[in-house]
Amino acid sequence: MSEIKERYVATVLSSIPESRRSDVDRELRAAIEDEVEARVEQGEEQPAAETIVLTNLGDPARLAADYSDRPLYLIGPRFYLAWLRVMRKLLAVIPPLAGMVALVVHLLTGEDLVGSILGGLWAVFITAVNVVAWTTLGFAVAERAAETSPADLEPLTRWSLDRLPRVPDRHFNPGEVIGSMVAIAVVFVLILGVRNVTFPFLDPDAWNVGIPVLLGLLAFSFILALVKLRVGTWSYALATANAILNFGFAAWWAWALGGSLLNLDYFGYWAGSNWLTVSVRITLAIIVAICIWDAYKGFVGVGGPEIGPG
Amino acid sequence: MVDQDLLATLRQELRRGSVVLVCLLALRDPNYGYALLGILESAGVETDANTLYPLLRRLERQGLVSSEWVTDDPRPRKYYRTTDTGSEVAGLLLDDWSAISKSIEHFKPGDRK
Repeated sequence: MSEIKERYVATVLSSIPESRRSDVDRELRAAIEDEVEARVEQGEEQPAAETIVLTNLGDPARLAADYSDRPLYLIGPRFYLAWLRVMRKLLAVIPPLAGMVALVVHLLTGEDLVGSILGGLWAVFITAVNVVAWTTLGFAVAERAAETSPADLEPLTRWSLDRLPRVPDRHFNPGEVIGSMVAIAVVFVLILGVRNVTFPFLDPDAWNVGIPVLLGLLAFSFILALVKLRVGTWSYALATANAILNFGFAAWWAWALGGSLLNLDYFGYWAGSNWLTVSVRITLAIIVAICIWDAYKGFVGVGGPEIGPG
Repeated sequence: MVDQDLLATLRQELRRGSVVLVCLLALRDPNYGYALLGILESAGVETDANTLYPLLRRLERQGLVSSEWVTDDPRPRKYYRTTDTGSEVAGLLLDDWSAISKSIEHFKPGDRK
């Protein structure tokens, strides 16, 4: 009995259920000895013959899996599509929701905008990793449970023609784009029109920095809308520009509602009250959520196929 | 020029199902793993040891072959033998095999109607 054969057989047996172990042990040994003997009779050296026979038997883990009918994959073809669908559905809902909640909580507890966005992204990442890990673990267990049949997961795997997804349209609605351009122009003109009026609730410095930046952002959105009209469909460049614009608006509102735009003296004793602080933060959270949603829609739009409008 | 790797894969797929049938037919005379390997090889159905040994156990669990330890040989060996169910299954598979073979004949070049 050579050492190398002992090691091979022991490795195979270590991952075979105990009830079958002694039987596999005897049979595998006999089979190896038979073949080695046959090779030695044909003039090979004993150790060399043993090496060849064991090498040809291959990875002991694979042989053990074949002996005990264990799958050599994590999730097989029976459950793969169900796994993919469940994971997609969960990933579409849970991480974005967790991210939004984390974002709002960060803003309400007084974190600045960048810190809050990073906190939201971290929550998205952590929940996504958890969703993937636990879904995969669940399906891997189902794959290995002998009594699981595809019928048990039928609600997840059911398929019919009604379930075919709609073909998404990545074209802009021209009416919508023109409407937004008119709205931007109106706001722009209104702001310019009242530039000589004194508003007691605005910070006197607002006209030097805050308002010009807002006008710049509005001009940027107007140009973006023009490009949308001209190009007609979403592209990665457009979606990126749209995301940057949304970030700009979110940052501007964070800065403005942070107390830099308003004349706090005007609000008297309300200025330092909890009520004002909380309502300002809730407003900011809603604005940030809308900006993120709008930026996200742009990237979703890129994925659609190019088809004629309406 | 035929891609040899592709050909090897296609051949393997074509033969995969035949190994079970050949085993069931061959084991109407009881035999042990290594000897069966030699019989298959000399019959032109080359099979790897690490495929055949687990396959024999699977067939045993499915009730198509039965096994018995024989200790008269120089070393104890596990002999497998096709059961009555196994023979019946082999007969049915053999019918299918002939039917497939006939169907393929039908498509042979020069023979098309």
